[in-house]
Amino acid sequence: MIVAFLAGVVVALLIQRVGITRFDRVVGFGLLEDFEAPKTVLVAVGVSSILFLLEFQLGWAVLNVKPLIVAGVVGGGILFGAGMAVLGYCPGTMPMALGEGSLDAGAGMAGGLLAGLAFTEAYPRLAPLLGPDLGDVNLYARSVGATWGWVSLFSVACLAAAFLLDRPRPISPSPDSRAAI
Amino acid sequence: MRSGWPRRWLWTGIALGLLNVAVANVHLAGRPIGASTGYPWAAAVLAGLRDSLYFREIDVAGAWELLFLAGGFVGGLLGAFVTRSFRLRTVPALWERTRGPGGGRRLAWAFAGGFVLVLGARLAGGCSSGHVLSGGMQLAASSLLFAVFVLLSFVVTARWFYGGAR
Repeated sequence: MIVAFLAGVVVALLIQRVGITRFDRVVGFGLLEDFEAPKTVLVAVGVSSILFLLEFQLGWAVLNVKPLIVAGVVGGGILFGAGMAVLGYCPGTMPMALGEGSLDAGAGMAGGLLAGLAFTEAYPRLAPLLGPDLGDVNLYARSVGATWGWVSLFSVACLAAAFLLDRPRPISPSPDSRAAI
Repeated sequence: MRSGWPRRWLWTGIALGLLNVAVANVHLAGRPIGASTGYPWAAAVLAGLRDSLYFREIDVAGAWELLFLAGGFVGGLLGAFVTRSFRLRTVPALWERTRGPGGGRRLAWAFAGGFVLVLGARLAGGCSSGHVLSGGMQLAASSLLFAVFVLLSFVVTARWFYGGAR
């Protein structure tokens, strides 16, 4: 359990450096003007996906895949995106932002606690409506070789996307034809 | 010519990815990072709902994630003090430009936003941490689908909510 606490401390110190704990950076992404947050996340997923596969193959980690409960994932994703746009933080960054002195993140946490309570109360009636449950599926292939190929492709795509986003703003018209490569 | 030196996003992303792989190791946590289950866990404990169906399902994960949130608060505080950037603030600059300077209005919207955000995370079974970072790491189908719908809704809502006043 101490790992959870320390992971929280380290994640806060890390993403603070990129400003992901700040409203302006998150909403700047929502307005497609600031891509520091998605670049960081894409690199994290690109690096971790290939290393996790190695770790998993060595037996040092187990898969912990969330079930594909279609209506819940789609509906929840839509609500989550709307909430993140208005709030400017996500569940993990709210306490980090509050620690930095952003009091609005504290108000968001109060809202989040109320939502947690409402969901807990509604869960017995709500759960059957979230399906269909397609199970804990991930995109690993049957054969080890194909899985390595597929995960490598995914990893490279994430990293490439991050570097593509690291270009001068697409909004400002630029005659730089080299950017077309 | 490239902007972004020292490319903090790159080194931070690498460190974040390494950390999540390390945390998932069976000798450490044996599970990847997640955050949003901490909210219903804390709410159920505060409201005395430990007997509820949902609490029994999230008991272990929720306690872990609440500690992650607590660590996040301490890390945020620590980093802000070390870099001398701690400052009590209520209305972010971009919000003030687009939605006005009212602190009460900002707090009310933040409360509503936090409610919708965590409700969405619980319906989907994860958030930016558990679904996007950790699910993405494992190429989970649910997490990739979640990421697509979050992105669409996030961009559309941001444009509608802040775009008009700019």
